Amino acid sequence: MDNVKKWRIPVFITFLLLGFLLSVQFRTQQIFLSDLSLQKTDDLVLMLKKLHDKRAELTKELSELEKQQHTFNADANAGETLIKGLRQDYQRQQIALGLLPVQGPGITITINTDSSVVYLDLVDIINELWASQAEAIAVNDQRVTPWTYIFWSKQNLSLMMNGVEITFPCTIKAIGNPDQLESGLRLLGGVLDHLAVYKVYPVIKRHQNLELPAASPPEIRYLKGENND
Amino acid sequence: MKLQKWHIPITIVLFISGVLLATALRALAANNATPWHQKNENLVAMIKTQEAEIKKLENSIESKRTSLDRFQRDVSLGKKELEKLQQQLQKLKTLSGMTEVEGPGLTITLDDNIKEYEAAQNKNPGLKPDDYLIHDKHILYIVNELRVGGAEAISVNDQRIVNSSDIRCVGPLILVNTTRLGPPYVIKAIGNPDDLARVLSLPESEYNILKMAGYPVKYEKSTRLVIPPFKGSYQFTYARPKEE
Repeated sequence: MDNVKKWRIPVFITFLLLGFLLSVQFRTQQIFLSDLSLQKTDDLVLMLKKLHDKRAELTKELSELEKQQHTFNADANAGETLIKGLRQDYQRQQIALGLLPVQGPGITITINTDSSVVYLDLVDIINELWASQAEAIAVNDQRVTPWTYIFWSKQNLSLMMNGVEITFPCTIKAIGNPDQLESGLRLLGGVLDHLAVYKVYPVIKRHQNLELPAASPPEIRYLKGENND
Repeated sequence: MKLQKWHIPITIVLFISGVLLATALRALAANNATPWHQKNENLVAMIKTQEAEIKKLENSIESKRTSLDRFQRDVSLGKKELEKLQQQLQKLKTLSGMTEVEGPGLTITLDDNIKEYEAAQNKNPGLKPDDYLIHDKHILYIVNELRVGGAEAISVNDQRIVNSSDIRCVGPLILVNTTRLGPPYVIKAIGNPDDLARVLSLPESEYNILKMAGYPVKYEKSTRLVIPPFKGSYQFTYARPKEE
């Protein structure tokens, strides 16, 4: 037992030293491997070549992305112009159809009495206003649309527009050139002359700014267009 | 001194230690003094430059990709909006008469009452033809009656009747959309043929009045009519969208 004990201490010290040396050796090796300048020239040249290739590829990629973005920007501008144009066109169609509230200069025609006014007189007045370049018309704040119909009710002999009774005094509003609209109505042998025969004298007033409400969209059941069948 | 048992292993261990130490020192010495060490410095500098450049490129590629990605998403959203807008516009254009339309309906034909005029003229040579001609009002009132019957599209001699269409005469000429028309007048209306016919047969209808007066008028129901588009334009100088 004594013998064993005696050699244990030097062996322990020796192994400690060995371990220390090994770790130093390993670290040296690590530095040696990670330091580029310690690599073989051939490897470095190859590496440089590869990096060069990679850089060329990336440059190409970047220029492609830039080109793409450029096209996108151009497309976006074209798209914006297109959308703007479409919106304007859409608004124009809405005004034409009476589906958008509008304002502008024009005239009002007020008929204070319902005596002797028949539904055809209203049809005549509206037709005359369109002929005088009216851009929007409303009767008692009901906007005139392509589906507007004017008739009469057999029950109480009242005038009806789109199935709604026209009450008196009745005001017709028209947006357009006030002079042109008024002179259209006052044409010799025109609408007003015709009404005067029946002792109906509408009051015409010019306005700087009239507001006309929108009509609700029509219910279409039979009509088929090119693209919506 | 007697050779102890532990002398042998300690000798082996020390020997190995010596070898390792020598290798380590040689390696260290070699590192600092190799001739290709200097030569490679240029290469290393070049490699480092390339690496830095590549890093920069990679960064800009990444940011460009992100922005393009966002862009593509925006564009596809814009495309959807565009498509929707185009559809809505197309629908409005169908309503406003900008496209050719078709559907069931009826066709009315009106003509001047020439036969009766000639007969009457024989008896009274100075007779004016006015009471025997189709006038603008006849057409105007019939168009209104067709709307009463629920007409969804109307044309007179292939002139599409739109909201702002006016029907009037200049002397003996009838103008629709400021286009001259002559007899016979063919009025087409798309809608429920029975509803349309019912309004025409009312005693107070303009159509019925013409018929009673002996004008050569007739109508015909059909399951498919084609009505051409409005050829005018919608331009507004005075009316503008109401400001909120």
